Amino acid sequence: MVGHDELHAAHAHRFDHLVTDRAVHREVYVDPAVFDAELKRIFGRVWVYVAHESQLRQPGDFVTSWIGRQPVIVTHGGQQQPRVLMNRCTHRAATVCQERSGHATHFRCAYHGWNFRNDGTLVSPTFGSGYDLEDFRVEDFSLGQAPRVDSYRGFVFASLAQSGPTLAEHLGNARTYIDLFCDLSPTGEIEVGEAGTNRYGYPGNWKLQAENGVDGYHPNFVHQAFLDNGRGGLAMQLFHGESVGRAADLGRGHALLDSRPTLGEIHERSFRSTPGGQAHYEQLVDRLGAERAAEVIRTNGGQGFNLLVFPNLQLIQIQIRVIHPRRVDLTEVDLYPTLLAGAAEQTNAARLRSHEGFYGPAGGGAPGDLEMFRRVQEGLAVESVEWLPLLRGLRRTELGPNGELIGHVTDEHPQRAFYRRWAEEMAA
Amino acid sequence: MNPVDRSAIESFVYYEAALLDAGALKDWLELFAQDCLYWIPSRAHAPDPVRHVSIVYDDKPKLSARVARLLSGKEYAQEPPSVTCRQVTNVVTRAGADGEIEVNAVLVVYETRPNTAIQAVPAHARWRLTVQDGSFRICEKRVVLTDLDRYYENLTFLL
Repeated sequence: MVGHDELHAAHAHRFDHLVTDRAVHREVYVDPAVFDAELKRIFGRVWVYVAHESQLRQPGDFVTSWIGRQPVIVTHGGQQQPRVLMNRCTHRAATVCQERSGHATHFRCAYHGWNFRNDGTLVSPTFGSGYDLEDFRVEDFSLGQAPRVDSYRGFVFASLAQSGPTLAEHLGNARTYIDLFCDLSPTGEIEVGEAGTNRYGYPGNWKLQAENGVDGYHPNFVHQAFLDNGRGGLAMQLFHGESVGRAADLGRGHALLDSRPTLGEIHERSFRSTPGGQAHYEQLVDRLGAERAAEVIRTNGGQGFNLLVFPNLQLIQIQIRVIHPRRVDLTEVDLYPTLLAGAAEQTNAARLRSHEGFYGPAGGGAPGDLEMFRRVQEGLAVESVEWLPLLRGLRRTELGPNGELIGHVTDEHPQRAFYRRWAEEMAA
Repeated sequence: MNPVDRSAIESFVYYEAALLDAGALKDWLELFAQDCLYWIPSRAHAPDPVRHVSIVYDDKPKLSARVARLLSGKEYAQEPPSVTCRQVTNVVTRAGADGEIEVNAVLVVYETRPNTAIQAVPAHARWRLTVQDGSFRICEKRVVLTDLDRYYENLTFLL
């Protein structure tokens, strides 16, 4: 490895030297300058997931989220595509909306009473006689808006860049797995929001969660107590060194853990024997045909795959997971369990129970990961050991039909995929 | 005679709290009826387990598995285990349906682990109790956190 100081001098204001195809430098996780640059170069430009259309059914419905650290309001204003408004009064910058979701025709800033329509336009400044029309044109003081908003299968993304790759180009191979995630629904629609949210935070860098959600190497260690708990060893086979599961670099920073080779046939056999399962299966066959229905069930009838969509979106089991960077060493995460529109009540309830068993701040799995993130961030204070290797499975890669780089489920193809894209964005 | 003996019920919920603070999780588990629910909902009003995710929704087998996991030495979110100190106050009791007793109280759990800041978890707790062989059994313990929007780092200890 090349000495870091040397490299640093040659790459002032660039950060791509902190990542190679075989290792990541500790500063990626601890340097506030890296974090600030990530907010501008990654979250300030690439497509970032902000909401799901099922949360915005009626004109006036809104949800709030963040693009990086920037607070946004996603509104249904009656037009085709939702608007993504910057949650920042154009007067003294206070946030104009305090709720996580709701219904509103207007957002009124409490500070000096400026009132904005849910399309972002300012109605008029309060005590308007104090403004001279030569200085003040109402139309200049609309709420800021994300210049580009687009959606795929109801997943709404925004980009703060005026131009760049389209959403379809950005998603690339990830679309296949978003389709599978949604197609398990008898109607092809998922419902986000009604089921509520699990939230957790941890004192560590946001990328630790991004890496971990597609890390098939850790579960048999961190989650041993859960996986081995009276389950006859099947769960332990998922992420074993001899497992038949796969991990993939999908390109563009997206990545996949694929448990279908291990569990697919079991899902296919068991799905129809669950309460409501046979009717559900028949609806899938009607809508998708028998072959696609079987593929969907193999994939997603249970723990089918973990998908990472660069930079901060994951689809895991039944959940949409959104990772919010707060500080270089502080991260908060929203888990949105999804309901399948049109599925039997027992089906959705069983999905929720399964999710709760592992995920959330009191789940049987996720808190172990958070504890590891805390330990990693603590260990990263060591300065004399600079690099974190990503060597696992480097020389056992197959090329997939769509350019995927595929390896063993415990290999580090997903992490190499993420950091290759990271370095590309951070170099430009 | 009033079937709801308030002081006996208070003694019971204090005993339950003491078992948890002492880490006597197996003894605590035995306080639960076979057909029981230990529930931490993710919304305060009208939570519906069929449509709404919970933070914890454990029947007896799941609760037993949770206790086994916590005692396994391999639940790393509890390595080392949390030390808790809890207050149960504002206890209100009333007769419930089918001879059950309903208890409502304010629960505040102070939790510490090395290298983490002390965590205060305020909640409204509700128990449905029944009497079996002269002892109380918990049919349901429901803990409604007062700050459900919070990004909790660790709620793996028992409330």
